[in-house]
Amino acid sequence: MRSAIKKIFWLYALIFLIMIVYLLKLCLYDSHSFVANPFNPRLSQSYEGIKRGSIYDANGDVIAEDVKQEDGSFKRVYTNAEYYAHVVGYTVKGKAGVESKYNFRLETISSEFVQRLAQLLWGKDIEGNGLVLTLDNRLQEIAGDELGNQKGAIVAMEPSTGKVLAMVSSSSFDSNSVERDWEALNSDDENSPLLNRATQGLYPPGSTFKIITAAAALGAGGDLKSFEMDCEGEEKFGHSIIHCYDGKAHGNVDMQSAFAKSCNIYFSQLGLKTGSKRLIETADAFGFNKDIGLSLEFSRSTFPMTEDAQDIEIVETSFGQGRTLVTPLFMAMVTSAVANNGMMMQPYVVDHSLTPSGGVRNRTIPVKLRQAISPELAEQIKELMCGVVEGRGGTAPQAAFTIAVDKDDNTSGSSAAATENIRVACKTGTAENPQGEDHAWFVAFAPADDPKIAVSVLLENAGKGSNAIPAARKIMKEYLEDLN
Amino acid sequence: MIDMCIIVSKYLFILYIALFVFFGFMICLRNQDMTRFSIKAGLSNQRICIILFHITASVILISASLEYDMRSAVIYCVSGFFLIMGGNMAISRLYKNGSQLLYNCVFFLMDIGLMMLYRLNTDLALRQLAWNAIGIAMMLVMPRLLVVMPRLDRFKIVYVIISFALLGATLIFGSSEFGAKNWLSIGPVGFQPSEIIKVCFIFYLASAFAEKPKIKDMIVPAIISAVIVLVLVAGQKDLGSALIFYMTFLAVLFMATSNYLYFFGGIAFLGLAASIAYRLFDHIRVRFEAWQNPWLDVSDTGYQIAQSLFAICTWGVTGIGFTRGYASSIPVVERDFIFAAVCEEFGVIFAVGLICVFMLIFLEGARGAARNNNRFLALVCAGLTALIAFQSFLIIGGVIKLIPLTGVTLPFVSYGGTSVVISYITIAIIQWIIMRNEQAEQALASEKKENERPARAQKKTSASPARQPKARTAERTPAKTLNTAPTARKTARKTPAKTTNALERPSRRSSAKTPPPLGRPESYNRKRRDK
Repeated sequence: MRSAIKKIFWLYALIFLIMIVYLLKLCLYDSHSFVANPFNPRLSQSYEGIKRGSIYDANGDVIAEDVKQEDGSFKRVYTNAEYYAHVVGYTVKGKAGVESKYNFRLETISSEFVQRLAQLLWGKDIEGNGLVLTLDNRLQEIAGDELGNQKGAIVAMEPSTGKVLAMVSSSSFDSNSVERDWEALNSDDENSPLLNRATQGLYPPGSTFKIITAAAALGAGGDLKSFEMDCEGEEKFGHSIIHCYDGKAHGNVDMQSAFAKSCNIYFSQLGLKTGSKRLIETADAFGFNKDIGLSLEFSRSTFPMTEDAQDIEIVETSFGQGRTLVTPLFMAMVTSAVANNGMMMQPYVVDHSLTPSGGVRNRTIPVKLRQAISPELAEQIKELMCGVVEGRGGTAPQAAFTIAVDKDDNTSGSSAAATENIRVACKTGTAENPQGEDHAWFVAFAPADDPKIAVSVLLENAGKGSNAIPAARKIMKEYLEDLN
Repeated sequence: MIDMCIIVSKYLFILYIALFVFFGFMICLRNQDMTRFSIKAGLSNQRICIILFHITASVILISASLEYDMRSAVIYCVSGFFLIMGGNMAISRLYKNGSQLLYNCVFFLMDIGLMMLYRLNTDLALRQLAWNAIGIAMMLVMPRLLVVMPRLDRFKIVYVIISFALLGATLIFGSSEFGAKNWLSIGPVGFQPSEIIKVCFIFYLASAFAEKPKIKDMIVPAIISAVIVLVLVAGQKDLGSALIFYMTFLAVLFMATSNYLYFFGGIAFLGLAASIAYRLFDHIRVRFEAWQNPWLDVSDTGYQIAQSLFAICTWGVTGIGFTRGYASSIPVVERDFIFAAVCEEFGVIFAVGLICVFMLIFLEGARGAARNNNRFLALVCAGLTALIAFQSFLIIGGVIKLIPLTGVTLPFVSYGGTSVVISYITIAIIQWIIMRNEQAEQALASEKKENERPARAQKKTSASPARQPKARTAERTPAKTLNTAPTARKTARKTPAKTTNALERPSRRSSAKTPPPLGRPESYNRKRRDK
């Protein structure tokens, strides 16, 4: 009996040791996956008398900062508020944007003991950790200025990482005066300034969806790749008539030229031949109807077509009308996936936390979201997209640009500004809008052979897609010139 | 300034509990004769740790309540201090032979619970203070009471009757709390009958298995246990208590029979029963799924466990600091989830220390049980210890999502009057058994010295059966016949250690008279351990 007693309690001792190991593992390793859950009330707390962490752009310029008032309290002050309003958000009225989602990090006091001591001895403020965003001030300004009063959104991403380089939505607001303007901001139904159009605005993709239709057709194999037809500008499907843009007849088109000219008739036929099943599969592979894993508020892009869809729905869906809805950010992700050998990366806006003493914490590691298409397929679609600029009758010849390169060539000795031609892969889109003027879409990445930046531009009620080209070109040019 | 104190205190608390546990394990090792550590120094260092813990926590509690109700905080902390000091001093004076390590652990747990509770719910904390006082009083009185009690192993029937009466009363008159019908009120006093049944149940099992049971002897206890467990599961929906009863039954059965088949068969049966219950009962399925993945439904079924995990993990291993947590977001934090609150404010490292304190308690109880030569008492001691161990495992494991959650209290720490008082009584009974060991061994050691020569002379005759009617001699007979019994040889090897143990108490040795025996060894039949 004595040995049985001992055995039982050795068993208990073992169980308790397991419990200890489990508890430590839970706290040290597993906790990252669930602590950020919105049901955790600890995340949304703010502390009186503590200087909330500042927010910086990728270059270290201050975007948001707590400034001490005369009475010793802190006031949140935003610079370039209009450009950053939707990403950075605000701290009043229940918080929004980065201020809301990263509240815990901004309120986290690193090496609290040292900071408290410094406060006791020298009266220094106790400061939360800062946040460094991936957004770039210069791109953000260009994007904001290009939009101006035009309603719409611009998103720029680094295709290989998912890093968001610029994200601007218009109409915008001033983060500094949200409290004062709250009523007006909420009642402005026409402009909906609080809506982040880049991540929450849902629009029909228009012809930019042809990227996905092409991927579905090319990925299906068989002879769809060499499908050709005559475009007469309009065609009848059942009771409906489909037009090419402005009813223009494109004549004999193959996939390359139909993509370049954005021929609706060709793609509706292609879609029919590809079939709803294959279209749905491809849309799924690109991540329609799924979470994109962004840490800001976002809407899911939806692709509601089912396998038993009527022909007319397949036709409309194939060139981006129908019931498909996308956000500008999602189109930037699709474009990035094509640029990044078919691999879609999870978008992120916060690069790392910064302790008051300059230490880097919680650096974001790029996450692969999904392999949307195979690398070979991505290469083929890239060529189609290059054809939009370079091909005969392409819809965006003006998207190409050159950048100045400082050639520190030792042999010539002169640092004369040389220029370099940049190959751009892109697609325009004109989304028909039953409520009014068409929306202009433009998605692009550059340089086509070594993609560094992908851009998605949406201008509400701005007419045809080519109207959205200049903004994108300007952003890509600025970014690539700065890289060199 | 206060924030500064709280930050420093985080590390102080960890230091206190680390030292406490360190000394505790050193004492354990010393008891096994593996070190030459001074038990006395270890014990007094532990007491210093408890007192420092109390003072540090009091300072923070009082300064945190500066603004609203400082007076009651001061009163609470001071009376808590006297309760600990007074209780500990009285206990160690009265019962020198008891395991002082066990007392220290209990007082430390109680203090952690009191401090945590005041911070969570002032009202409940005051009541808990009173319950603790009652419990400590019980702990002081119990051993004396047990001495005058007749032989406890003769009342099998009484234990069963009490248990079933309480069970039946709860079924008929009981009221529900947190989904389980486990609350009984007599006039203004409410209590949890299942807590009382636990003790009766163990006494019953121990007396039923006091003789080494044959298979037919196990049928009745098994049926009775099954009825209790079924009533708890189906009638009262008190899964936690049912599990405790079942596992205690298995542990006692295994200890009484040393038969692996029963133990692992029982565990397998539990698995089978659980999978059937999973299919049959909705509330069990919900609970199981909440354990598997609380994140699927954080707003509803997974809410409790998710909030508990947030509290444990948000602030890392050192916690946010005493009084600064958000424990109020966890449901039933004063009872079932107090461990999560401790993790949040004192940190996970401190909580690991807390788990170690529970380990010390059951290792000490197990040592007491293993040393006792009477089957009944050894089973009671081991059974009660196993009960505390399993109950603390059940709730800590549940709160940290190691096992599915069942609502039981964490002994000595959680709020709950019946739970606290019964926990103290449990400790008192374990202590009484330990004290009997101690006395028997002391008597043995001293008589061995006195009778060294006669003992040698007797050796030749010792082959005759050792069982003798007179217990006084019986108490020492085994030692003399030890050399022949293989199981007992271990005790013989240990004897020197225990002699030194006795040497440490000069008062005992110097007085020529042996102190009045606590407990009447003669009242229990001396049975040779089973072979």
